[in-house]
Amino acid sequence: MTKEYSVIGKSQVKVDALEKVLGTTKFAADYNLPDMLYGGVFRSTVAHATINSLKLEKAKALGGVEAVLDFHDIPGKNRFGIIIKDEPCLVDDKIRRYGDALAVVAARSPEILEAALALIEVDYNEIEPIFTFERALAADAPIIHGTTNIHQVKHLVCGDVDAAFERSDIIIENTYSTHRLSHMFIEPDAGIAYYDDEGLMTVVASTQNPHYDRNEVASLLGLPYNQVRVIQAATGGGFGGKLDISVQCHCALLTYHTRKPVKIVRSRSESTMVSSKRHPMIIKAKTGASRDGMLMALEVQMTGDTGAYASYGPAVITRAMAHCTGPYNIPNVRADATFVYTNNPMGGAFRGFGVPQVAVCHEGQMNQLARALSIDPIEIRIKNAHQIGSKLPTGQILENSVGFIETLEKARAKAEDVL
Amino acid sequence: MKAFEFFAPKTLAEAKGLLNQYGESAAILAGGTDIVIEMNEGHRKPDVVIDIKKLKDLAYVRIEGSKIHIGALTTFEMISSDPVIRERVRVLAEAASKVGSPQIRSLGTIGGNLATASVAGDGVSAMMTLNASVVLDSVRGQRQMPLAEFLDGQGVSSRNALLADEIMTEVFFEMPDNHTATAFYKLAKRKSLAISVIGAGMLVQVDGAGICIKASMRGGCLARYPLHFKAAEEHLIGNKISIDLLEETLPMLHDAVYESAKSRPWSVFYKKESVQGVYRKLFAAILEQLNGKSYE
Amino acid sequence: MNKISISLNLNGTDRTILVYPNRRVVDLLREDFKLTSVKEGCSEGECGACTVIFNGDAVTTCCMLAGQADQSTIITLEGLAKDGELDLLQQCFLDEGAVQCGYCTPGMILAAKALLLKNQSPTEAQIKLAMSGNLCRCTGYQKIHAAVKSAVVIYKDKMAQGGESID
Ligand SMILES: Cc1cc2nc3c(=O)[nH]c(=O)nc-3n(C[C@H](O)[C@H](O)[C@H](O)COP(=O)(O)OP(=O)(O)OC[C@H]3O[C@@H](n4cnc5c(N)ncnc54)[C@H](O)[C@@H]3O)c2cc1C
Repeated sequence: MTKEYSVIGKSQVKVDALEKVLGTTKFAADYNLPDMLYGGVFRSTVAHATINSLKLEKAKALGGVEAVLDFHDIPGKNRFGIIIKDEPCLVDDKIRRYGDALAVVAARSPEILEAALALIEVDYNEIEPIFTFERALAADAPIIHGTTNIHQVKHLVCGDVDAAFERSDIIIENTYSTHRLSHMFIEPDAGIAYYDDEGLMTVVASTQNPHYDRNEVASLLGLPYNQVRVIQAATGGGFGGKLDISVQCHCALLTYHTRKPVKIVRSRSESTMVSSKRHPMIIKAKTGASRDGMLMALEVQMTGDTGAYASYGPAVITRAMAHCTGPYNIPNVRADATFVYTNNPMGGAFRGFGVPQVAVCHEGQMNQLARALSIDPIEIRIKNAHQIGSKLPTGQILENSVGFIETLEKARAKAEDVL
Repeated sequence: MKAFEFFAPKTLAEAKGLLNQYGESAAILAGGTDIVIEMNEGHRKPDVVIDIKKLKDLAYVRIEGSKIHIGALTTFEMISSDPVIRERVRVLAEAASKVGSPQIRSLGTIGGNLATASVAGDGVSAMMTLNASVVLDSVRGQRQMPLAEFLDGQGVSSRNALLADEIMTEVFFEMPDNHTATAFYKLAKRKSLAISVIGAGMLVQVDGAGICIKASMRGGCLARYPLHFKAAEEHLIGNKISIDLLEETLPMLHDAVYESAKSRPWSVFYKKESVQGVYRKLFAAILEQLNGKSYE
Repeated sequence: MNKISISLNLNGTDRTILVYPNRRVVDLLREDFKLTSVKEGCSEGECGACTVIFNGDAVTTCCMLAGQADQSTIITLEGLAKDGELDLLQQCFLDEGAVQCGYCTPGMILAAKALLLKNQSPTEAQIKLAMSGNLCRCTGYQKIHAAVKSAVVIYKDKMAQGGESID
């Protein structure tokens, strides 16, 4: 007997869909408050440099401009970052990527804002920019953060890998590389900051992470958490790309100094320039199997480019490692991963956190293995598939709900239907 | 966007007067799909903008004698839905229907496309295939020239021959007759909102016996201006059109693209292969049209 | 810079406004008329979020200068629902689950509306073509197309029963 539920099993109209079809839903850029100022960011046009001089006077003198701020105007801590606090709100020591924020402006109209930003002058002292993994690790390469360009190194070992390769009938070796991707959420980042009726610093933003944003804004302004409130506006897609700070801190800083509401709406190009990206990775894999297609050993070396700032890099490297076998039982695994800092756009969270990158690798390996052994590619996957009770190389036991074989069989049936 | 004065003249004479007055500091605005984006991004900063979209008289498709005349302000939507163009000038109908998206086709004009003269301008490739001419007008009077000459010209910009006080009023070409087949194929990443990777046009005219007496083959995005496949054209002229004859030109297309691409980045080299696939599609379309027509 | 006067029929009402000419139509609608259903996504005509119906055609307002709106008729999403009653397309987008983040929704509905104003019984291919200038990054397009198709079917039924026309 199947139970009748009021919601499960029935089509439901989404709770917020009515306002969305009416066009009354407010996204961050749709907020307008009395006395509101328009905020914008002056950004670097080089990827790696120190600053000789940043001239703000002309912009400050322009009529209708209410604030032009640089890092000196930050009352609290000038570093944020979801895991490692390595990204400045406004550059203080040096520029680490094209598009780093150097100054912020608040003006009475978008046109005045544009004019003011054009009046800011900067003089750089350029440093060799690092755009490749190899160059980042070179002995004579300039260091981007701290004392080394190595962001993280991780290892995962399980079983006796060398012995298992010895016993393998076949070994498949390949190198895979994946590229940097932009989320292209359809709504460019936007937000508005204001003091609410009780004097609370309030930021309404397009974000996936309001609780984290609240902490970062508070730390930037040197305020206790209970003096800051962040509200997520209706958000036009994020896919991981709106987990990092975008406009929240810049808006809040301008509101802090002007006491007025300040709205920042990024252009598409600005949004694409500085929002996080999927980490590009190079993955070397060596897979050993028996003649009948049973996986025996896997050795993986992966390198990733986390760009100028850590963002979710540490989570991505961990997930990529943990998932390097894919949904397959491999008793002997050795994985080494190295992520480096470069002067490229920042790598961050992106649907799957490193898992899609390694999937390119483990599925490529399975296809080649199937071909080399003349085994049907679905068969070889089913043979090695995780099931309830399987043990992962991390030691985790899959205790319930492993739908992989069922999924493969259904996919095969569907494919046979359409092909 | 930088500040400017805005004028929307109601007559051509008024527009020419404004152009004469403001010259190089002025920019013509038609549909806006190229220039507004350039201005918004700060790549173009005119002091004066002259919106000519109110000159309704410059939006038309007209047959005069053996020629088809198209007003510079005719949108791609108008062109691709015009019955004469659809019936008689497939190369243009097809190119127009593949520009951008419905939104862009409703705004974008043929004049704007030819004036922008983008490497990937689909209107440019189609009009070059048709061997079209343009009419430029100013207070000094009218002049006309073949499109090829227009594109080669050094006017107020290096893109085309337009002088600072000139406006394009019209583009015209010989109407393909009953013995002429034309076709266009756009190779792009997807069907909509995609810049052409190759936008190629073809025109073949035959006599009563099916012998080719005129051929025109032009490939957009293969050179600064649509690449002229001269050797291939010459191979067709004087011979009876058949699939075999057409396919004999494929190596010539390959070589022409290779010659054009060899001084350019490696990334475009694959086009020497893809151009052949594109022309196979065009051959099929051309043969279908020729076979469907009576040569009497 | 001199302001220019723009007179237009906006969502059924005649309006006249003085604006600086260096605004685009998307700015005019969002900033000056506060019609914030008009969304800016890409600023270069690629995404369709800023689509409105302009003199009967779907157009992307990020590619138009404010002055181009003079003497025109514009319909934004705010102009679709009449007296609190949803337009058929809006209802179908709700019922078919065609809305996720909602940012592309206004442009999608208006692209479909522009089609239905011209062609009240479009084929599936015509629907897809008419919607091909609008990007969605969340739902995929199946449900959006399903919503438009369902509107066409419901509308045909209504007409068969002697209903009134689509606008
Ligand atoms: C999203 C998008 C997709 C696109 N896809 C395509 C595509 O697939 N294929 C393609 O070919 N193009 C494409 N384009 C480019 C553009 O739409 C076309 O080039 C269009 O034809 C330009 O016409 P317009 O009327 O909008 O020109 P405008 O932008 O108004 O003007 C363009 C230029 O031409 C000049 N000009 C315009 N009319 C005249 C005239 N009568 N006399 C003298 N000068 C004039 C202007 O001063 C300006 O320099 C696309 C554009 C966008 C935004």
